[in-house]
Amino acid sequence: MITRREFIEKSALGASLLTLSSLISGCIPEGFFKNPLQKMSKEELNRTIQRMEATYSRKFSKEVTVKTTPAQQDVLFGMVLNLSKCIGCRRCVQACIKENNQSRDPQIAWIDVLEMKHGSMDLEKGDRYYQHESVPAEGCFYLPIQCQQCQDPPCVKVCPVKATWKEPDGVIVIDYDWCIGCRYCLAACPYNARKYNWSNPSLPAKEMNPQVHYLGNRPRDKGEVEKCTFCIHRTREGKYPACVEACPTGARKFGNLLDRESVVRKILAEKNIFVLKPELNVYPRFYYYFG
Amino acid sequence: MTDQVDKKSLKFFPLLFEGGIGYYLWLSVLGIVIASGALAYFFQFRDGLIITGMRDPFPWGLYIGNFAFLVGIAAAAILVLIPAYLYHYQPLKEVCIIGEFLAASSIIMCLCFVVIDLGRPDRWLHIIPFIGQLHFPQSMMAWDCLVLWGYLLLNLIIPSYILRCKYQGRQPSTRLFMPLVYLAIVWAISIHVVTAFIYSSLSSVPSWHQAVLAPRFLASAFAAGPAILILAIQVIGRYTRWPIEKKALYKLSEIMTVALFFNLLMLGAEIFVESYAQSSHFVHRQYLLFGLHGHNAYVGLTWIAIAVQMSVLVLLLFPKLRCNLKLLNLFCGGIFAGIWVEKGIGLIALGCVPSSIGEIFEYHPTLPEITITMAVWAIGLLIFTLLIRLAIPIVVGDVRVSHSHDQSEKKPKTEEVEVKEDAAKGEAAKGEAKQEAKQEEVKPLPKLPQQ
Amino acid sequence: MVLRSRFITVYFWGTAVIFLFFAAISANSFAQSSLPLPFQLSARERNPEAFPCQDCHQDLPTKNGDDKAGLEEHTQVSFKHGGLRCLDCHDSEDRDTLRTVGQRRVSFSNMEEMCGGCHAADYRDWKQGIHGKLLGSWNGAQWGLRCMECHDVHKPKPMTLRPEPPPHPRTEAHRSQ
Repeated sequence: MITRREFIEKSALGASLLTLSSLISGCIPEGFFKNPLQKMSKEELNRTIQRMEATYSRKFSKEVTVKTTPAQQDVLFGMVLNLSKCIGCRRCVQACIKENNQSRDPQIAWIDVLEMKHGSMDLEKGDRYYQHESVPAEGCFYLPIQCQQCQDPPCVKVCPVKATWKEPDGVIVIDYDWCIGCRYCLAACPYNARKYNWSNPSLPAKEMNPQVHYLGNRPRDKGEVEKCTFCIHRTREGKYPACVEACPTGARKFGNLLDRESVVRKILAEKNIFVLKPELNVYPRFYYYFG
Repeated sequence: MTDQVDKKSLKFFPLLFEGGIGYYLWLSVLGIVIASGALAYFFQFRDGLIITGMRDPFPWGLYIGNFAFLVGIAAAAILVLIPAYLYHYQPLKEVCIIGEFLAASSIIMCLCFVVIDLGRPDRWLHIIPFIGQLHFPQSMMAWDCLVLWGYLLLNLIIPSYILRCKYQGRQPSTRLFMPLVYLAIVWAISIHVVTAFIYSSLSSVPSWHQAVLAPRFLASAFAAGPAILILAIQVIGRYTRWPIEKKALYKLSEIMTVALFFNLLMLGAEIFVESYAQSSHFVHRQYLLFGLHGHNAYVGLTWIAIAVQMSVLVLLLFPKLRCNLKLLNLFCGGIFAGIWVEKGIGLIALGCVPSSIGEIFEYHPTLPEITITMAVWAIGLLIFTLLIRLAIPIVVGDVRVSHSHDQSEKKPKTEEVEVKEDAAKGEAAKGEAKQEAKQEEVKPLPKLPQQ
Repeated sequence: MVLRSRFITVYFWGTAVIFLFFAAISANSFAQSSLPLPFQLSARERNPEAFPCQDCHQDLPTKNGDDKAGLEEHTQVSFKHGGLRCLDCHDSEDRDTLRTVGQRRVSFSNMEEMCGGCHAADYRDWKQGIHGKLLGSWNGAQWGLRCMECHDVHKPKPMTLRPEPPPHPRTEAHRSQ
């Protein structure tokens, strides 16, 4: 049997807890409890986009538009790289950094270019930190590596919260706001393609690219994983990715693998193409050849 | 004989503050370590994981290395359960609770390590099933989440039930208890196998992508677990009145010896297989044993860890040495440290060297990282201390429901028990009928001996 | 009588088959060479009015056989293209046009037909958009580049550039502070 005193004490405790929790929930920023993108209703998505555009525009002092362009029908993206033509100038790396709003300090780069010696495809002998007066250096060839957009991606399998998945056009995307930063996908990627924001990324306002996509190049936050998305904000509108446009030798080719007349299909049919680490059976959609 | 019964009310919270100087000193030391770790974690939460030594090519380091090691320690609790309840080995029955509480503290340490390793711990809701989006059954980490929480619950329920039965002076109900024991045994093995699968399922890291990882994890766990348990039991036996039998220690040391043999056998097989063929898979083991391209910071440590384990195994084979408690403590310390270095650091924390595109970086944990790691260990030790502290009066028999008319240990039907179980979670006695509360005379708790 | 008419029939049909066979082959090659390019080319034309070579050369003698011929006068040209000489590409009679290997005249705006005479593999690839850079959109209008828009036709050499800086070495902290 509960005494009157106990009843008053307990109900006072309950009431104060209730008040406290509502105060706290009022302090929690809107969006703390938001759904992952795949579960959002149209209204929630619109509200989220508006909130994001307002936040980014305020932060970078320019008008930022966040798109959510879906994948086009009957499109499967693929990229081909001619290793005989790549001279290792790293123009693609810089173009990607600028186009995709990557952090400048600490420096994040979605594309890694390895300088390899002739005669071996052993990645362990590659050097990512080469520095010469002019490239290509004698006796070397260059191997740019970025997200291979695998058809059976190991990173998608391991994510504990389903923050990363494969889109219908083949691009592996990340819902940055859903990622908990456990870095399991970094360990799972065989190509070291996924990059992590180890601290608050710094992006100067005047270098920020204001045309962003929700799943692509919008500015990320500390503790989130990011990677190449084949410039999803450009390619879904029919444009080439920034790395393809920046390449001065035309080593990179991009297109729709389901279109028989596309350049990438023609290369796949005629050239001796290969993929990196084929024994892993992840079936990358990034092909290489010497031609 | 009267019908009046004596009853002790068990107030858990004041019990935590009863102890001698040694107890308070121990708690203060732990408190200082935890406080400095909390400060370091504040900086990590604010600035991000860049204050650690981890980078993109090796995304996991000290935190996850300790996590994997501690899941093993937690799994080793079954090594006490199996002899105690399946084979009814009485000496180990007494120390069953210590093993269970050690397992519970280890699991809490594991969960802490996972949380501090997350880049966005503020998004912890995302991993809760139904509230967030748990990627079950594809992601091994999702499996691990579920099994670890389940194991924590089991390791709080089972000892609570045993303590309650002790308090009421009766044997645990076989019908209720034995299924839980069987479940705990299976679950204990599964937590460490699932943890091993987190690593061994990755084809991108050849040093982990091997079948022998899961059995090796179990063997090293069953060697390191009893090691710390032997030390913990002796500490408890020395500083409290917990009834400890030396036979328990000897039995545990036998189990430890066998497990250590299998651990070294599998390690040896791993090293042989990779170094004989000298394929690219050998690179990781080569880095640990011989250094690679000038990076050799961990070579000495690796060799020492393996040498210590091997020499301890040889020495443990002699019963005279094994039953010498002073030497046994030394061996246990050696095994614990050796397996921590070889498995926690060498295999897990340094597993991603070289990276998946062949780069070799030297991972050096930073001071904040080490501070936070020590603080989590201190949290685990603190919880273990407090749990044991709460259990001691029941185990030694100071606090017990006593019957003035019936001194035999029968199930009481008419007495009521006022128990505040705010420390021991979960009501284990689901099968028992609820009893009415009555006001009873309260006897003060006995003072424990000063240290 | 029957033997003669049979001979005429066989002769007639045989000739017809052979004719059709060769017609098919040439039709195929005509069709291939006239397949539209998957990309557009810019409307750049070498403007003969700006540089009417034939104004001078119609009166000058043709110096053939000497690979240094003409270089003293055309000092802006640095020449090293395999074992070629000037008149292997430039037409000896009309300097405002070029000449393919098969002695066919092509204009400067179709020079790839001449270059493709030796660089057949690259030419074949270029026609499909495999060789060289493509601008525009992957699913819409694309622009290709002519040979001389990327290569120095007199002294072609592999492109060299100064590389952009390498990423930060991981052994150091990233932060600049």
